[in-house]
Amino acid sequence: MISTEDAFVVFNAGTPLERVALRGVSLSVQDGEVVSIFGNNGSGRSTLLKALAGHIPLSFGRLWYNNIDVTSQSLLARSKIVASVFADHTVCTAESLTVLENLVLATMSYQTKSWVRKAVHDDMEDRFYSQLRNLNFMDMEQLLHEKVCDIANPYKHILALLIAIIKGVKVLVIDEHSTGLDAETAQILLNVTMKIIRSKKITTIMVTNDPEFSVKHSDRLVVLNYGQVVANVSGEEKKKMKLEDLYLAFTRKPAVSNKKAPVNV
Amino acid sequence: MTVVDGIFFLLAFGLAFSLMGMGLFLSNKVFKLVDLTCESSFALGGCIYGSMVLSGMNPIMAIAVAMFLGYILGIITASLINYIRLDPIMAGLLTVGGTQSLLTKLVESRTFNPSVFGNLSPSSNFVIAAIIVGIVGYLFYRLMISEYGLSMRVYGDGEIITESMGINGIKVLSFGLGLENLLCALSGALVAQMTGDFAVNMGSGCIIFGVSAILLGEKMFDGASIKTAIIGAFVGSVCYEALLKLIVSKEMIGFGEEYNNMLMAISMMMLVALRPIEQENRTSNRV
Repeated sequence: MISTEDAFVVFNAGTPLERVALRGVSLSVQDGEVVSIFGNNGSGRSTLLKALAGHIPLSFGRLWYNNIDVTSQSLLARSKIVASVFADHTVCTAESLTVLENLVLATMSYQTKSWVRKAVHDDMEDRFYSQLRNLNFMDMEQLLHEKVCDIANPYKHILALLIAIIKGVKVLVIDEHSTGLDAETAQILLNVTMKIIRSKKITTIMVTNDPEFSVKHSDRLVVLNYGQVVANVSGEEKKKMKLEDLYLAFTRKPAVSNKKAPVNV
Repeated sequence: MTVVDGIFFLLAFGLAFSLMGMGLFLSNKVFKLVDLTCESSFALGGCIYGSMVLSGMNPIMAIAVAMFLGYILGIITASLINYIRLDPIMAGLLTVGGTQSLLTKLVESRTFNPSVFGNLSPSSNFVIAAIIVGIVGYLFYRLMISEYGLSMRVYGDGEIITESMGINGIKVLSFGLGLENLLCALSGALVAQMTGDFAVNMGSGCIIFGVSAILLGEKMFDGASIKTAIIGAFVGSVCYEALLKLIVSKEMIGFGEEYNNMLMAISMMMLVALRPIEQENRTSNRV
């Protein structure tokens, strides 16, 4: 279980440009649960995901993973637990390496690396080739020797997802990884993503730009506004919820719209 | 100087500078940052080697000390980047400034006669350089395709992905910059041995040399795989230095050494300006 407790993120604290992106978000996600986050631009969705992935620190509040306090963990330690698949693929794939090298590197993450042993072997190539063919994602197996910066965006996002799976992380955060794709490709990408997540039972917190898809496939819907949770529905309540009701929740005001952190951050 | 001797003379210098080319390939292309420290580590290598040989030390020992000190310089710059979060260029400048004033204090600029190897003929200089470059180049290539080399190559894509892949970015950068400056110091020592001369400012323009040599190498070899990229950096530096020496050296065309940096500046400008258009559209071949 991963949970945030009264999480605040303040950018440019103490300057005229101060901006509070998260105002006390308390959210807990059970193991294997798929949670979709909704909200308008600037409601704090991406900030929440980045804070979970460890890309930005919390200004105030706690972050728990299985009852262990991981708030002040470094990115190196956090990435053992949480992997990210972001629209900005430069933070989740190594652009100057080939697809194969990325996958190979993921298999030996957190291990001591040999100075002598060759990194890429032929048997690894065969293994990943057949794995990618089984995945059946737009002939991705043909791109094994292409550099990541030379391949199209949907492949990069699938690669990021595969890196996360190979590393064996327990939690995945996904931020609008189907942005900028045509409708058909976006559907394929989302379906493959969901298939992988469900088959590996990975706890997932995601933002997509396809609300219909998110509502259909996630176990819980969370709506953010003003950096606070304004709606959190699951189970029976979620089944009854229509898309229109969800959109209405976007404009719902939190009880205290200008909530302050208990201490000055 | 006969024609054969002249060719050996040029190639020997080319090989000596190719070690620095490989070092700068590591910082420029693999880490994608500009490391100015190479200027001071090259001068340090030359000066330390020169003065130690002058004081009667074994040249092999002198080269080892020069390489070790070069490694330390790289570690200093990497620590400035890692722990004080300085910009790489600023960190390099600090190290260059500090080293230069130390060197000026310690080493008087003077011409020396490398006594132990003696005044070697161009052909034996070439053989020595070829053996050293062959061994170092092969080890460098083996390192780059090893598991550790793969994790070094990730660092150039940003710190977030490095740490996400479970790689300690601080360690990788320290070792990488250390190795780069070790190679530069070795290169400086070899050059001091060949010219029989060393000076505190002998490293000025190293960074321009390295970048232009790598650009030239990219023109000749497709840098798609790490193997061809390393070969490109190596061949590029050999050709570039041989051409420069051909123009400026007193025994050759004889423009004079003082034109060295100007020629490097002009040639680098031309190499960048005359880049073919299709290369600009390629994402993987950014300058």
